[in-house]
Amino acid sequence: MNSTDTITSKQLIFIIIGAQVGMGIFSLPRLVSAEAHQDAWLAVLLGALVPLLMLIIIERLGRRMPELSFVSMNHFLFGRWLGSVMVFLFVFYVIFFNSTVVRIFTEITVIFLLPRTPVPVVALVVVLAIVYIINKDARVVARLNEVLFWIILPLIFLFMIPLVNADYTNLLPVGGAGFKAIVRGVLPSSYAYAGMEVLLVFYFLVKSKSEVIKAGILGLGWTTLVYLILTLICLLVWGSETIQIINWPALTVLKTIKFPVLERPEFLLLTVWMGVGIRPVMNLGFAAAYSLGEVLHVKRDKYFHLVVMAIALPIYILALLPPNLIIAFKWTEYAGYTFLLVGLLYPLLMLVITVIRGKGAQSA
Amino acid sequence: MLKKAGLIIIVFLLFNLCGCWDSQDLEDLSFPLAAAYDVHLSGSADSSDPPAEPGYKLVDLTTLVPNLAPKAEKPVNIKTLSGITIADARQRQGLTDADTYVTGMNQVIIMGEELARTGLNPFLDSLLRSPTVSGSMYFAVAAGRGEDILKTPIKNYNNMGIYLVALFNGIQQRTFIPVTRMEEFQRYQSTGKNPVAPILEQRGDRVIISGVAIFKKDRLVKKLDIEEGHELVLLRGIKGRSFLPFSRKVDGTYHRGAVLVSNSRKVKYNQNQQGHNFFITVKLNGSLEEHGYQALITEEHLQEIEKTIEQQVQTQCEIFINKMQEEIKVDCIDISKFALAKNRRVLEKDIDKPEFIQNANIQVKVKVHLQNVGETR
Repeated sequence: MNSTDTITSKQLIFIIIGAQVGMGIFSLPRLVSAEAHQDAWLAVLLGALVPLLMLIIIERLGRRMPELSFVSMNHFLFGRWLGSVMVFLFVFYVIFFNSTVVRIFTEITVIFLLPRTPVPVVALVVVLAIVYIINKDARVVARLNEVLFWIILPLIFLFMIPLVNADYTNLLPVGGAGFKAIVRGVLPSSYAYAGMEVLLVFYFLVKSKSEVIKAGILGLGWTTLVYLILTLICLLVWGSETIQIINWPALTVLKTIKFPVLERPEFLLLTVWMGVGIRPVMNLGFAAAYSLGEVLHVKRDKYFHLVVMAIALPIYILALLPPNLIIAFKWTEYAGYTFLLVGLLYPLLMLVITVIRGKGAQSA
Repeated sequence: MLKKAGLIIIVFLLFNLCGCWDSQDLEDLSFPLAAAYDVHLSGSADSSDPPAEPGYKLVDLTTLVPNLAPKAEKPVNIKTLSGITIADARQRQGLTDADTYVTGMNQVIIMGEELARTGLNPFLDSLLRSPTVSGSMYFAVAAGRGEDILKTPIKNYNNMGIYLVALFNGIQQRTFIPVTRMEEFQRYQSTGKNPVAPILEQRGDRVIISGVAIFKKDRLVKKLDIEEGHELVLLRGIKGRSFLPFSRKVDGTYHRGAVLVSNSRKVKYNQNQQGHNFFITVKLNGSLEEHGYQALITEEHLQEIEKTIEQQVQTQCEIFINKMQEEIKVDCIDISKFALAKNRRVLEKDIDKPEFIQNANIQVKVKVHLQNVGETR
């Protein structure tokens, strides 16, 4: 591991936030309220339990083998061949997941900001930026996450302004949607927390491993808070019924207000968000490139850019495959399912094997 | 070094790719400030409007575009085009005008009365679907045709669009009239809610607000006059500020005056064997602005004035509620949501049926508090 590939636990907080809060935030209130109705905010809160469970599993796993990287861990637990296959599957997952993020990012940019620019051109620019970033080391990725976090922070206050149109009866009766409906809403809400799985790779890169759980909880806590606030705002302004006809409620909610000078706040938000929305691609992309480089024994200084390109190219191609927005939304749903597999079942399987192997795993 | 410089140049050029498609010369754009939608009327469209097969055209789109050319003869271009849909009428602009039509700056949308009675959602879809269109544009209904409002000559303003924006801006601080924005019209179509909108009317050489339009979801069902509009605002809880005249009988003589009040509303709801019960409390807080009784105002006087206004407004509100239940049969005072808030799952199927509001027991109580009497006593 290069010295520039270590990060602090504080940086891990920003990486986790960056990996989770991307473009899904804009459609989250619609997806969750479709199932949980006025109790969507409760489903968003409960949805956070899924990544919390992931965090605990991955941390327990890492604690048992603190000196092993993600790739070494796979080799150790599954054997060299099967372990490499598992790493490749992880890389495929990242490619698929990132392609959906790039596509949705591109669609929003094209629909709201650049209606005449072809989707492949916007997607190309996005992917090139990603290639440039993940070609660097973990520390650069971490620092960029931190900078972008502070840039986006003031925008949270922008979202408060539509509350002038809030109607508290839209949230009532609390729990009235029924237990089953709320539980059904937890599933799409948990997809929005996709990104926690980067910890599988980044755990090894954190200097102070004892602080990982704290950093994870802080990162997840922030994400949950932001999701909760935005879902509540959308529900208060529109109610769960009207939200259903809006593709990106958390963005369109800014269209309900008018500033004297800044006529259209949603455009201001999007301009800033263009840097922020691709953070999940950047973080997951780095995790995949780092692991793929390691499994292929690629010299970091010489050929890492080829590994990055090998990941970026399929992301770009896959991002262009959905013929329309409706299919692209379907793909994001599939990406959500795979997230549960990769983020929850995969580390759980690894942890179970580690526990079964007992002391052997500890000494590894 | 050369390689690096070349790479930087290529990356820079790549990042500017988007400009190749989306760059537009400002001089080639036209920005409508106001628009009106009407049911198609044969002969209403401009002579330049391209012909179509009989029966093809269903809707008229009138746009008011400020003329930005420095030496233009007319300060504004008002044009009516027809089509089978709004977007169709809009695209026909391309056949008659060299400039590209940019909908993002539109600030007022007026719906013709006939069109509003047919249901507006199919015609508003193109506005709601387009992210460039502002959701905060003012929404109004015309008494008659919307195009007549835009085509009325205006004297003290640059154009009718600017006048209408100025008219609606801050009107709730001047009188009790609802002001509706595009997104609000959409928002108030959910279960248990119904939108309202101001009515614009051409009177002589002026355009005025002459009443309030009541919608059942997207369909205009009733027009209220200005006085009824005041009661609607108070009962609906739309926050505003207005003068209220009062008339008080002292020793057989009528003394008239006016207060300037801000309003608020509270609604309590319960359901029992009698049915759905709503208790509305309208609160008016403000000051005495005019008083015909030329004597020093004492605390007793002030209380009497408060009671007079309370009785007066309460009676008017009760009459309005009666009219709403018997004649309009639509919850235009936005109280059904409080019933939904108690039992959404059971009530949401039936709450929009006329019987719900007709059979509801609605009681209203008005509380007036006058804080001061102005500079003189």
